[in-house]
Amino acid sequence: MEKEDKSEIVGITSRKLVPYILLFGFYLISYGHFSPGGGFQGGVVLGAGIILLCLSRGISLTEISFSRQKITLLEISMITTFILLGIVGLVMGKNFLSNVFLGKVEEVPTAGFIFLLDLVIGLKAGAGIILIFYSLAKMR
Amino acid sequence: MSKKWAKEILILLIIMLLGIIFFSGFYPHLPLNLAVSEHYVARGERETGAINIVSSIYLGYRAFDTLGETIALLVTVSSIVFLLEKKEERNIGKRR
Repeated sequence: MEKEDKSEIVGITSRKLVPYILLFGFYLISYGHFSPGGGFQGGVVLGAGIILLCLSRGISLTEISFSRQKITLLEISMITTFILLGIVGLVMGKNFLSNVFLGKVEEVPTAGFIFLLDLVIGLKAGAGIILIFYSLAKMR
Repeated sequence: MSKKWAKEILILLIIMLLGIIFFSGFYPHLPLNLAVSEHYVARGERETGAINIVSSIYLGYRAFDTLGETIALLVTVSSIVFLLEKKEERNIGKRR
């Protein structure tokens, strides 16, 4: 995107807004087993934050910090982590993808495995959406 | 002639049986459909540790389906990236 296309209002507003959007995405992911939300939704919010950064600051500036190689590596490593987390259940003597670090409901770190799966799915969905946006924007 | 009719009637009966099995999913008060949902509502918190019952189903009881969903998303993203990059390369080739 060229410099003349940019609007001052959009730039300043999105610069102030993007950290809170990313924080809200991580909140949705990490509280997925307590409240409405979860992995996919939080990941989509994360991707929307990065897309807003791209639209306001330009793709070339955004690719310095969130480069294509890093996002691709994140996507691939997250799906590998998902399968490895499933194999952990097999190693501990339960079913594939069964919940092995299970606590009581009243305790704070309940559902350890579900939180990990939420994190993995969220990062993976966000990385996928950012990759789709990058390739669509480069086609233009 | 009669053999052909018998075969068609058999096919019709099999289709109707499958249809009854399929449409029984639309009646949630049948005991067949009630057992699973009652189990999830009653013991979902204890067995998976998630208070949100949606999370306890799609990451606890049916995490394998979620793995399939994740692989579908991965295939979608990689196919989109692959197709668009090919098109970009073609355009660059034309310009040169």
